Amino acid sequence: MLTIEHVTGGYPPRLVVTKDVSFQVDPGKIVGLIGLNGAGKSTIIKQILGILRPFSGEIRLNGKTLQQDPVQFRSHLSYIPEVPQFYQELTLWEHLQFTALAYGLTTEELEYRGNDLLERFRMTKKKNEFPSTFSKGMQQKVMILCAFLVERPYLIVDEPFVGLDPLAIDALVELMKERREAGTGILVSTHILTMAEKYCDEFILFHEGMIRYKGSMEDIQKQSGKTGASLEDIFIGVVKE
Amino acid sequence: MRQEQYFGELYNKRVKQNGKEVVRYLTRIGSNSGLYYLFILFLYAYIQGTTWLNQWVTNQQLFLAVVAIVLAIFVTKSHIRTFFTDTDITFLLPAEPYLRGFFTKSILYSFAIHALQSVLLVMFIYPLFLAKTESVPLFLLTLFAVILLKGLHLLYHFQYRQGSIFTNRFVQIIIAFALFMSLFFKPILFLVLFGVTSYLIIMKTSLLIPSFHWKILVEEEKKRKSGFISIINIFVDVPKEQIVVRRRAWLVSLFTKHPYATKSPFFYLFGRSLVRQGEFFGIYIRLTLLMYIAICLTTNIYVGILIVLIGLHLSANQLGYHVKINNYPMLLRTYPVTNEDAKLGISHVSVLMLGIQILLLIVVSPIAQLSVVEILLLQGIGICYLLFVSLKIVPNKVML
Repeated sequence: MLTIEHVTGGYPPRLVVTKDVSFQVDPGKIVGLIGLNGAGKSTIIKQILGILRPFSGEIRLNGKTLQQDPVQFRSHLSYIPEVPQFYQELTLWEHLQFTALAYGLTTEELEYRGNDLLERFRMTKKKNEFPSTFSKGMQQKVMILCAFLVERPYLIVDEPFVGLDPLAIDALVELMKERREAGTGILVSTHILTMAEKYCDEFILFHEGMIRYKGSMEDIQKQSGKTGASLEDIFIGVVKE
Repeated sequence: MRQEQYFGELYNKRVKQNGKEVVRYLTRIGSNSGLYYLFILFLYAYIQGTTWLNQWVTNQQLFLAVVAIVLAIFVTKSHIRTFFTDTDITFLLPAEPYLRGFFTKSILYSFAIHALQSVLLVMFIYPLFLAKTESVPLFLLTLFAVILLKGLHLLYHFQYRQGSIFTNRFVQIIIAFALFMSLFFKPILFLVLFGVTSYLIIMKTSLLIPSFHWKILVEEEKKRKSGFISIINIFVDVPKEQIVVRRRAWLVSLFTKHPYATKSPFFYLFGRSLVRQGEFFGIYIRLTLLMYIAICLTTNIYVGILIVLIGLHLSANQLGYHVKINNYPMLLRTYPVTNEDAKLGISHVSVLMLGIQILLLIVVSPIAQLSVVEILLLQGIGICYLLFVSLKIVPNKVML
C-alpha cells in the first residue's frame, strides 16, 4: 500500500505548496488526483517519487520510506510524466530496452510486452525511430510504453491525456483498467473530470495545497453535501468557495 | 526609426554576449596543456608540408592554379553572423521592416570577421607564395582581392536567391577561380570581371532578406555554434548544447556484442550516446588518428609516451561530457538505479573506447620510427593510464 501521511512540503527553502496531505493508494484501485493548475498535484507526485523531499510527514510504500531503501522503493513504482522526457540518442525500442534493463526484465518479457504495447498504441512502425522526431502526443506515448512495460505494483500518472489522440486515450484507459484488475494501484493526476469520473475508484480533490474531499464518488458527494452531483459540479463548488 | 535603432542595439548586445562567451572558452582552453601540444604538432606539420610543397611544385603556373583553387574555395564559403535562434523566427520576423540596422551591422561584423580570416589564410601561404612568385605587389593584390571577393560573396549569400544557378557552390567556385586566375595572369581582365560581378551583386542587394532565408540563417548559426563547441570540447567540458544525433547502426553493434551490453542500462545508454552524438565520435576518431600520426613522426620514446598520454587524456575528457549530459533527466531519477550502476557503466565504456585506441597502436608499428618493443611499451603505459582514468577519474563525473 502507498501511504502519504501528513505531508507538508514544496520547494526549498520556504515555498510551501502541499499542507498536511494524507491519503493512500490501495492495490487494485485507481485514485484520481483532481485540482486546478498550481494546486499542488505535481508537487505531491514529485514527493512520492523522491524528486522533492517533504518538509514534514512521511511517504511509505509497503511500510518503507524511500530513504530506507531507494532502489527497492523505486522498483515498486513506474511513472508517466506530464512532459515527455527522453534520450535524444535512443530510438523508441531502445527506450524500452533501456527501461527493461533498469528494472531487470528478461529479454522475453521485453519482447512480449514491448511488442504488445507498440501494437496497442499503433507505434510498431515507429519503433526504430528517434522520439525527438515525434509529435508531442507520440512522445507521450513513449513515456506510457516505458511505464506500462515494467508492470510495477504502483503506477503514478501525471496528466496522462495531454496531446494524446482519441484512440491512444482509449488504449491508455483500457490498459489502466487491466492493470487495476491485475492488482496495480494507480494514482492519476488529471484535469479531465468527466473521464476521471468514469474510470477512477476514488478521488482526492485538491485545492490550494490541501485536500478538500477524498474517497469514492458517494463519499465525496456526502462530504460536499451534493448528493447525485457530478465530479465536475463538486469540484467547481470547491474552487469557488 | 526608433525601432530600427532598438534592433541595431540588439545586435550590439548579441555581439558582446558572443564575445564574452568566446573569450570565456578560449581562456579555459588556454589553460589546457593539450592545446599547446597540438599547436606544436600542427606547426611541425606546417613547416614540413611547406618545405615538401616547395620542392614538389616547381612550375609557377601550376602553383598559382593550386592557389587559385584554394582561394576560390575559401572565398565562396561565407556565413552571415546574425546570432539568430529559433525563437527569433517567432519574435523578430514580424519586425522585419525595422531590421535594417540589425542586418547592416550583421553584414559589417561578418565582413570584419571574414577579412581577418582572409588575412590569416593569405599569410599562411605567404612563404610559399613569395618563394614561387618573388613578387610582393602580387601578394598584396591577392590579399586585397581575397578580402573584396569575400565581401561580395557575403552580400550575395545574405540575399540567397533561391533557385538561381549562382547559388550553387560549384558554380561560385568556378567564377571565383576564373577571377583569381585572371588576377594572376591578366590583371586588366580581372578588373573588368570584378567590376561586372560587383555591379550585379551590389545593385541587387537590399537590406532585407526573404522570409524563407531566416530558417537557413538559424541553421547556419546552430551549425557554427555546434562546430565551435565540438572543437572546444576536445580540451574542456562544455555544457549541453544543440545535439546532433546520427543513427550509426554499424557502430552501435560495437556495444551490443560487448558482454556487459545486456547487464547495465548505463553501458547501454552511454555507449549509444557516445556513438550517436554526431560531433563526439568524430572527435574521438580525429584524436585517435592525430595520436597515431604523431607517434609515426616521433623517434623519441619519451615523446611517444607523452603523445599517448595526451591522446588518451583528451579522449577520456569526451567521456566525461557524455556522463554529464545523461545525468539528470527526471525519468532516470525515478528508475531503480544507483550511482554505482552508472559509475560501473561508464567505466566499462571508458575501458572499451580507450582500449581500442591502445590496441590499434600496434597497427602503426610497421610505419612508425619507433621499434615494436617501444610500441609495446607505449601500449603497456597506455593500459596503466586506461585503468587509472576508467576506474578513478571518469566514474567521478557521475552524480545522479
